[in-house]
Amino acid sequence: MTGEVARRVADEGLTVEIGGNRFVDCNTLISIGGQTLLRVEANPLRLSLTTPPDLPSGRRVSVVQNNLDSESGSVIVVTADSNVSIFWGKGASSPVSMVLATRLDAHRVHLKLDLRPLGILVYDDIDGLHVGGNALCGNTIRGATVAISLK
Amino acid sequence: MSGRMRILLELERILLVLDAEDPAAEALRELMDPLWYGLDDEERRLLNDRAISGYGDRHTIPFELGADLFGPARDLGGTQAEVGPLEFGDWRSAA
Repeated sequence: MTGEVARRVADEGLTVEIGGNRFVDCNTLISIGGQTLLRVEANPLRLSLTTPPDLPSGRRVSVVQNNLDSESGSVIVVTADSNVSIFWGKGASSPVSMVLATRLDAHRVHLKLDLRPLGILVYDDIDGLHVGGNALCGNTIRGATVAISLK
Repeated sequence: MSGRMRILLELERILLVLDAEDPAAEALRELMDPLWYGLDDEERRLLNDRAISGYGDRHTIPFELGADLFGPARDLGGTQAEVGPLEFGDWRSAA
């Protein structure tokens, strides 16, 4: 890809699909208490998942652009050209996935999300994106600095 | 369109004009809750299937942090199934 093409691709924006919802050009997908919790960047595909230090579960994750913080001892990050995955349970017999990101094309990323291993009741399934007792399905959120704010 | 849905949409339109941190916005959201829960499934589906085009923070979907947003962390290996794990070495026999 030439530099010019790469710039054009980057300029054309990113759609992240979660639980039947489309997040178009949203800088941060989910924040918690004003702090970024989940962010996706494309070209190359990069995930950031950072929990606040005072989660009721006591668990902590700090992954910034696919790079694992040394304090996130129970977290596994697996990267490939078109996939980035974050798991909880390093050393466990069966780690559980929290974020599975697949780049469908240069502008679309599909996310499978389940933050329940961290005690945050945010996950997606065939019914939509569940946030606490709410389910979001079929929505398009475009151009939000923060798409979903847990405050 | 039911009266509840019409009022909800009208309040939502006003909410979009207000800054998200405005106390009046918070009061409006409180007011909207019983209207939302008073909608039938079809009305909720219609509202859930909308396209939201926004600019900046104003179009954030806010959720209040509460007990229903947090739960116990999933305990890896802590749940013992009544039927123990099955191990298949030959799918012909499993079928």
